[in-house]
Parts: sequence; C-alpha cells; structure tokens
Amino acid sequence: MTAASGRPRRPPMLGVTGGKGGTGKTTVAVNLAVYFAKKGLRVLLLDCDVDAPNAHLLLGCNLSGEREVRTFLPDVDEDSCLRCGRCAEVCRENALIQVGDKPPILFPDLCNGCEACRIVCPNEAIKSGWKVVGWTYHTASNGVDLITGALKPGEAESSVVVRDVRKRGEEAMAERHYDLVIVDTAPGAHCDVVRALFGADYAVAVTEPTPFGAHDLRLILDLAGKMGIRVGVALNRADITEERDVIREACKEHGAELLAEIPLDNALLECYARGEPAVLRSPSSPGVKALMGLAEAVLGVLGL
Amino acid sequence: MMEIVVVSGKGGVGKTTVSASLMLLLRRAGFRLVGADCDVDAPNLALVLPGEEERLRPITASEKAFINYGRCDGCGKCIPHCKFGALSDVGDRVSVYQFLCEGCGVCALVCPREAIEIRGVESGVVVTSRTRYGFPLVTGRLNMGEAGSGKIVTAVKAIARKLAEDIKADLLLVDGPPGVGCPVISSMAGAHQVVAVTEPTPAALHDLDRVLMVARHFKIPSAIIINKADLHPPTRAKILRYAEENNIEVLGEIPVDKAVPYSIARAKPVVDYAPESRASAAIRSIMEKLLQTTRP
Repeated sequence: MTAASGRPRRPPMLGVTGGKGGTGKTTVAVNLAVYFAKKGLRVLLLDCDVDAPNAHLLLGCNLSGEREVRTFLPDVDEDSCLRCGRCAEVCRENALIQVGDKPPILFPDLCNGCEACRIVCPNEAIKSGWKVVGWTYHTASNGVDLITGALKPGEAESSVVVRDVRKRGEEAMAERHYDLVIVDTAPGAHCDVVRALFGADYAVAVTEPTPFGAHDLRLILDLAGKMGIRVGVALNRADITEERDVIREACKEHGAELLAEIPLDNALLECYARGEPAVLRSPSSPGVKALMGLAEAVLGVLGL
Repeated sequence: MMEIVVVSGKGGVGKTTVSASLMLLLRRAGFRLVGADCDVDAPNLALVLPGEEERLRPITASEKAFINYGRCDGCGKCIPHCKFGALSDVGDRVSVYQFLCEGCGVCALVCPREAIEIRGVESGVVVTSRTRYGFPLVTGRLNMGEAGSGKIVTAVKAIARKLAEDIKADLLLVDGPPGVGCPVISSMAGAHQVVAVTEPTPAALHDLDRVLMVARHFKIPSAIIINKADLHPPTRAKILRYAEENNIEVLGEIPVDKAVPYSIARAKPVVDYAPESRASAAIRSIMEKLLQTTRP
C-alpha cells in the first residue's frame, strides 16, 4: 500500500481505551491484533499503559529489546555555580532549592526533565545529567510486533515513557511496512491517555454494564470528542447485569456506535490466565465470536 | 489517626468495591471515619456512596503556556525545547496543544519576543459530601485530559486530613488510583498502611508486584486482598505463594459473586445491598483482620 509519491503511506491507527480500569482493553487490543495478523495484515501493537503494561502477558511472550527511558536531570558544577538562584526560581516542580550562598540542592524525584534550569544558568554551571524513569521493549509474538513501555515503580513521569513508546513506534514504522497500528491506553482520561491516542484515526472504548463503566465511558467519549477522534464502543461482560441500557444511553448521548456486546465467557478468562490469545485458542466460544465480530466491524470502519 | 490507602496496580480489580464496603462496615463498627476517593481520573466511589454535596473547591494544580499572537512572529525557536511535544508549527505561527503542555515554562524562557505566558489553570475539583451512611467523603476529580493528577490527589488528602482532624476521626480510608505513577505516589504519601487488592490473573499479579514495589520504596507496610478469588485457582496459588515469599499478609479472599455487579448497579456497597452474600461475609472478615493488623 503506497501513496502516489511512492513513499509508504502512514498506516491507520486504532486506539483501544475505555475510561474505567479492568474492563478488558488489553484483551480487546491483543485479540484484535492477533486476529488481524492471522488475516495477513501486518500489525504493530503499542502498549501505552506504562503504569500497568500487560499486553505481553496476554500475547504470551517475554519482553525483549530493552531500552532505557531517560530524562534530563541537572548536574550542578559547584565550582562554576554563581549561587544566583536563577535555576531554583524557574523550576516549577521545586526540584531545585537554593539557600544562601550554597549551591542548589536537587530533589531528583521531583524533576520532570524540562531543562529550564540549564537554559537560564548564566554561567553554564548546569550540565546535562540523566535519570532512568522507565524502559521500552520491542517484542514479536503470534505475528504481531509489540512495543511496550514500563514506568519504573517509584517514578512519576509516566508521560515521558508513553512518549518514548510512540517514538519507538515511529521508528518501527520507518523500518517496516505495517497495515495497522493498534494503541492500548491506560485507564482514565488524563494526559497519558491523550498522548497515547494522539493522531488515532478511530478508537474502540471498552466498557462494562455498570454505573462505574457508564460514568467512565462518558469521560473518555468526552475526551475523544475534544480530540476529534471517532469512537465505537465494545460492551464487555455484557451479561453481568441487566444494566446495558446505561451504556446504550451514554453511547447515544455522544453519537458513539455500540459495535459489540461481548458475553462473560470462561474461555476468554482461561486464555487470559494462560497468556494465549483467545482468537487462536478457542475461536468458537461465544466471547471470541463477539470479539471477531468487533474486529470485522473495526476493519470496515478503517476501510481495510 | 490511622491512614489506610487501597491500591491495586491493575485497574478494575475491585478497589472501589472493597473500599466502599470497608468504609460502611468500619462506620457501623463505631469508628469515626473519613473516606476519600483519590482515583481522580475516574472517580467512582461517590456512585456507591452517594450523599449531599457540601462543598466544591476548584483546584489550580497545573500551569499552561499561552501565546500572545500579537507578539509571536512564528520563529519556532520554542518548539524543539518542549520536552513534552506540546508545541507545533502551524504555518506562520506556533500553537500550544493544551492537553500535552505540562507548564514547565521552557518555551517562555527561550522565546526571543516574550510572547509566551505561563498561567495557572483550573485542573480539577475537590468535592466534600456527607454520605447517606453518615460519614464524610472527599472526592477529587481531574478535568478531562489534564496533567497534574498527583497534585489533585495531594489536595484531596490535605482536605480529608483536615476534616479528619476537625471531627477527631480514628481513620482516614483512601480509595486510590490504579497504576504506579504520580497519583499513586501522592496517594501513598504519609499513609500508615497500604491495602493492595488483586485478582487471580497473571496481569493483576504482575501489576500487584509493581505497586507493592512503590509501597516498599516509601517504607509503608502492605497487605493483600484477593478479589474474585475463585476465578482461576492456579493463579490464586501463585498469589498466595508470592505473599508468603515476600512476607505480606493476606487479609482475606472475596469469591466471585453476582451480588457485586448488581450492588454497583443499585448504587450501594455490596455489604449494604446484599449483606447475606458470600462477598459480604468475606469483606466482614477482612475488616476484622484489618483491624487486628492496623489497630486504629
């Protein structure tokens, strides 16, 4: 698939999100990816839930190709430091404190790596150090290329790790042709979710039939609306209550299409626990059939 | 006053279900209690602990870059300096993508025409309410797409602690956010006890280990609750082994029980909606064990 210029066309990007945690985002992302790969599409999956990265567990593979995610950390050269306090003044995270005629004290945990201190230092006393805030990985399994980000526990700068996953995704796309990129996001509707979904052509929001699911679905539908991303909804464990109407209402309010209702299915659970993609393992179970229906609906929307 | 925070690593394993029921049971056991919802990205606790809203405080927890287009000549010098990818060249001028801006101020520092201003913006709200069960609840809500959830969490906890002091509470019970990042760190800051809810799936165990690393990092004692305990016996055994190897107490196990999703649908903690259910019995015994462990 190439554009008229001969340059490879950017593959369409599908976001998988949902607002509430634990609704089945990763199950949907992984099974869609494997299903598409089985149909012969070249699929790149980006696990952008860097707080709780689980796609590799569901794909049944170990992470490999580790790279550190580093952020800038000021390294103060006390000999050339003028004690002017300009660096501490511009640091909005209060990671640098300067008292009296002492060189500034650094609180590495608070630093977000913006480099404001280095830019304003009048005597070039701030050198570029770094800290590791997480890792990215590049793995292949079941016909799917997977790039995963993992925040280092105890670090706060998850958005930088998401940024690096997206960057590594761009690198992979430059090296190899993909027909489709799937991005699995964190729960919530915060800046990491925005960063993950940025540039997506379409998103699937996975939810469950409870007021929790409906509440958080509205948050993500609002956000996607502001970002200009069209969303289809997948209602997972659709039969655990008789409250499907709360989800249908939320969809209707936001003009989102209800693409699939996936029943509670032990086969899905068993595959999830074993780390085997359900679309390969038990294609005839009712949950998997619904997932495959969802996959076909998504292909239709993306024109693939 | 004892401060307990409920976390999980993985989302959707039952933090809010457990928190809501524990709050109600502790209240009924005669404890003076303040509840807090620190899952500010997707706050759900008030859905099962509804009450009368007493106060809403807007929180200015983040700052953003604003470009004065009277001054900006579109030179683009600021763009490569932004570590967060929030600036882009849109033809003859620079545009700020507000959702990605972290307000670090570097663009304003490097702008040769002083065309960029960093201003505080309202990034969320903190709501104080009195639940129908007679204890106060403090809920934080981050505005859509915002950064700074950690700062909203810090505001929720400051308000909840002040309230707890005012009413001479024995306990502050915090329903925390999923993950291990900034809001989780802020939720744990200053807590006496971490309670980690998990479920018997490899993903939940993987993320449980990550969140307990954060608790260890901050030297806070931890205990585990296994929710949906009969979901997958082999992984349940792995969790029990993990707890034993790491010397972490298991407060109890809650079975898969239809009463739980139905109680959410009826906007009630499960121990109120279905007190006779197996899940409720398990949570009652968990509360007893939690009291023995923490002695508030």
